[in-house]
Amino acid sequence: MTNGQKFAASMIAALAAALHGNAIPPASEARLVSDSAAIAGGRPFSLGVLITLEEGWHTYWRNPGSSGMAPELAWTLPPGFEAGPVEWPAPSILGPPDMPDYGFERKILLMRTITPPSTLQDREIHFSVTVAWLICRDSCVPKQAELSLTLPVALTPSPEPSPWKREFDDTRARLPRRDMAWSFNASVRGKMLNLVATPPPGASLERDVPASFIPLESGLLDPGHPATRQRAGNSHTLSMRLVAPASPLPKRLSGILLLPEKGISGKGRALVVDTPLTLENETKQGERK
Amino acid sequence: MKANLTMGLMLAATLGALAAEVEIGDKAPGFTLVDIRGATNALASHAGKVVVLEWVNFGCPFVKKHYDGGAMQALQKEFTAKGVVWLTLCSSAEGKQGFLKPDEWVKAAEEKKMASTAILPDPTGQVGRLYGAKTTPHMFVIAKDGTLIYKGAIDDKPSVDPATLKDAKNYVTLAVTAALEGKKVETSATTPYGCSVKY
Repeated sequence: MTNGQKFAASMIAALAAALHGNAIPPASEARLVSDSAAIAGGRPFSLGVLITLEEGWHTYWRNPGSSGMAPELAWTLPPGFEAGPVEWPAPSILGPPDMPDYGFERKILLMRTITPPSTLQDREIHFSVTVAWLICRDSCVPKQAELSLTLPVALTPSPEPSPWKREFDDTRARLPRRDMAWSFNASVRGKMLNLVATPPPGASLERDVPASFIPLESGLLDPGHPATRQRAGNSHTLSMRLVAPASPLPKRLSGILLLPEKGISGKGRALVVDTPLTLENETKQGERK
Repeated sequence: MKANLTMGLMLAATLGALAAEVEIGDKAPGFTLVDIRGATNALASHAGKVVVLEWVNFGCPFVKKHYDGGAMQALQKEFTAKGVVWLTLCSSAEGKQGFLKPDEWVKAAEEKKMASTAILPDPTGQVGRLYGAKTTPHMFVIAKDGTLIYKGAIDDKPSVDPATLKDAKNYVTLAVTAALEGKKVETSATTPYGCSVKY
């Protein structure tokens, strides 16, 4: 580099540093949205926190995986309003296989069903939520926002949908779904947790190979230890490594099974897994021979 | 040349295999790194002492939570005063977040009033991979007999909010205290939380 080039480079670096310190672009924003344009007494609707991210950034699922942090939502609802749990769409598996993160790129809507009391006195209703979320690219930035939304009380029992309705519908299509036609069996043997997933009879094995299992909570399985897979007949066994084999185990295994993109006839790409977790005694297993 | 390459690949494969196998109760794998002041530091030279390994990256908001209010430095101070060897490692590759040159490290250590026994840059990531360090912070505790007795998170509050420090259950404090008292470590493995290590 010539001196001139060096000078130019140092100026660019200084400018970048100044921008970084003072005028960092938002990279990610959050807003509180509803699928309904107005509220009617006793009629459930959905509220959601929509987080948008600039390209290259991601935020996290409820179990963030190898690193990161799940978004934290603290809701303030008016008295008499009941709220269902936050519904988490199926995440993507991001990053290298030995350090996978479970999260979302571009955008994520975290919704919950709200049921108003049967009669509403006010003309409008105010909702608010404080959101803390972490966005990461090659570095991580914590974000926080206090969001609010005021919705009018509808004059009719069936209010119009809001312009955000489509966003809610798209997200609902990505929620992990229960499929009673699948069966799951989970057991622990030594350091490994084995999940046997059996698709419904007649399901194409090629298309319905279970891709990955992700527990709802971190702490049980080591995300950086890729599952080994075995197939026996129509069943698939995923063997995954426990974080702390010596620790007491949860009574149930709760998580989602992420299926390949084109799996399960396009009916969704994640299945709810919620099955008793049993402990296999290794010596007993040996004695049975 | 070809033989060297093969050897190198075999070594890499061995390290890779080891990285997956460092488990509680195993002998903590040895390493030698040069500290920020230019002194060689070998894990083997700390035999007979409790050793804490801490992975750090000052650009990471989770690390900031533990350093900005002095919580991590307080732990370093408390335990080094009790004869514990506290090694702070940084596996950020050159050009990646958290990488510092030795003189920048000396300055950062003074500014932050770090009380680690030694600060060991690991820009090749060799030691980080050897231990399977995934996050900053990611903590390991080695007993006096050289076996690994804790690996995982620093505490049970996977958050960037400093307010969570107050009620956090600090797993490193528990593991080191148990090791010093010759007791069994109750929680020996947890899932670490933080930013990914910038290999």
